[in-house]
Amino acid sequence: MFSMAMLKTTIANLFRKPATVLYPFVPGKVYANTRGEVMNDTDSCIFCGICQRRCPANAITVNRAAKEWKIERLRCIVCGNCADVCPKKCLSFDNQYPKPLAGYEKGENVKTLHGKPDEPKPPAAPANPA
Amino acid sequence: MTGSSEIVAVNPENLLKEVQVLKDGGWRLVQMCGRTVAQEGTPNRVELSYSFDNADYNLKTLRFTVPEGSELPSITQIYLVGFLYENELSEQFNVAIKGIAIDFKGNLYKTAVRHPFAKFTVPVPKK
Amino acid sequence: MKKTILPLGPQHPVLPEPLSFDLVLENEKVIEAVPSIGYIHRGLELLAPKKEFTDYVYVAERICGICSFIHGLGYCQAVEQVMKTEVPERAQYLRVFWSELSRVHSHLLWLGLAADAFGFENLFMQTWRLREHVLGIFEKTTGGRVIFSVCKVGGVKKNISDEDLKAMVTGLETLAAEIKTTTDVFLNDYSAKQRLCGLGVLSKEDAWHLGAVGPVLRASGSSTDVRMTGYAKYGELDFAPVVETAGDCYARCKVRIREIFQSINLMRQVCGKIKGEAIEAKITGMPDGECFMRLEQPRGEVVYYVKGNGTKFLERFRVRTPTFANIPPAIVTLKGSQLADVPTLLLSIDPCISCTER
Repeated sequence: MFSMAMLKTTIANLFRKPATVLYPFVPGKVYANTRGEVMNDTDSCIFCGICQRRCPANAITVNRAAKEWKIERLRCIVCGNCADVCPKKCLSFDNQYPKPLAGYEKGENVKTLHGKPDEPKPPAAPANPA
Repeated sequence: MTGSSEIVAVNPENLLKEVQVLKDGGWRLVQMCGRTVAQEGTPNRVELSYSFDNADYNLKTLRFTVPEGSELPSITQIYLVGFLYENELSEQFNVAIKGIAIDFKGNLYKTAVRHPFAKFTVPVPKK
Repeated sequence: MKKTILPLGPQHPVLPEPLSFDLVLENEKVIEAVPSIGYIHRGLELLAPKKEFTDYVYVAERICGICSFIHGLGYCQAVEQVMKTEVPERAQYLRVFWSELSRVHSHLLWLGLAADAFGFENLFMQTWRLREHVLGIFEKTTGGRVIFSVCKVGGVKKNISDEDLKAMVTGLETLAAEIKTTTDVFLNDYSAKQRLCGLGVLSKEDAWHLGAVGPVLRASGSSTDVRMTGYAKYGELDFAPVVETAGDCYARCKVRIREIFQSINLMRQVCGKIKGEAIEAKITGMPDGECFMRLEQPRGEVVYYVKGNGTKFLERFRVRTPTFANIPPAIVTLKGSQLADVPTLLLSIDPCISCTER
């Protein structure tokens, strides 16, 4: 009646390390492909707004005039659609997960990135001297 | 082997008769689905599809269209297991199904908006 | 005799998702059970006309966490059939690979929950320790542990090289040996058998006519597996439905355990047969038409209905999930059982309530 089916595992367990890691003191294991956080390379971004229109969670806001790209990290579902539809391929994924959040009201969940300001245009060519 | 999938249009008046024929033929209920057909100028209609299958993976769907707000007989007298589908249909679409064996009386999903699929319709695009 | 009405749920330590039953009891025997669902209705079907059909994959995937890849796959296959797109071979083989890995993951998860339901918490922890290896494979190949975002209309988004595939399959075979040690406890342990054998018997006719699907149906003797219809390269793989005849909880447990090993075998076949280079097909035009698509999820048969009207927004998307069909058989098995067996009976149909009420 006494079944030995679990006995071997139980005794082996006494001598094994725990299967769990002491997260967050020990960082979690990530791979090269892990979709952690959305990053934008603002040098090549043209602020066209396609990522804002195609985001399934409506997490991205793009302001073309002010060259501002905002993402609400708590709304983002890290699906990768924005990176696929971006015409300049400036959106990518960092494989580290972002730090946990405590302050939702203080706006900590919004990541704002700005593009380089436009260089001032060179002065117009002098008028043709009469 | 691939199962076939056919859609058969039926008259809503003959619904119970057709369903009884399928039950006698050994088919079982698979799903019941609805769709609001909204066309400009005509009142909305609800298109219902009841699917049945048999042991060879063949799917037969009975399809009929009724005007919004109309009443339908329940098929739970023939297929008792359809009570969940019928409660869902009568809550999401503007059709009243009479005589469901286990009737939740509108409390299955408890949505904020009654008949959400009737309220948010997709207009048929002009070709 | 006096009858008592006891509410079970919606929050209960043994249920993975909110599901409520009002049990009518006489002493400790259940006479009737009235189900109540709708606690996590998110209205995902109404989002289909609001998101472009290429973006809706990500919403369809998130209908459920455990069966997520197959929801995305079913949506993509339904839209591809409406648009008559030809998916490249490598993409179809990769889809089969990830589907079968999802099945292994789902069954391992269920085994842990079932062990927890009849009180064997050590076994629950051991089963989930094995599940971590499967989640590691998912993260390495797709980037996510639970939700993959790797299926798209026309193919898949990420590729796995042939060498990686071989290495993974070898790793899975080593894992299969460890899985066997743990699943042998389910099948041979004295206390597990006392809790599972003879409980919640469904006869073959009852299971068929009540609408049971998946392992619940196959444990009662009916050999119905939608993968035999041959969607997405299943037609080229060699397998047969896993059938048991007893119809009780022990048989359902045994069907799921045998399906884990069948899935590992299918993945080995995929690794041997995979060919082709392209992983996606270009999609042109808009979906115009309708189609019914049936797939086999770990929990049973799932039916997708897609209706497109020529614009980039779908008109209607409907999912009939397996748990929706398995609730009436669950109610029938509850009648006449003991109160202490109710959690085990409910879990033996593998309820996925977030699928049931999208």
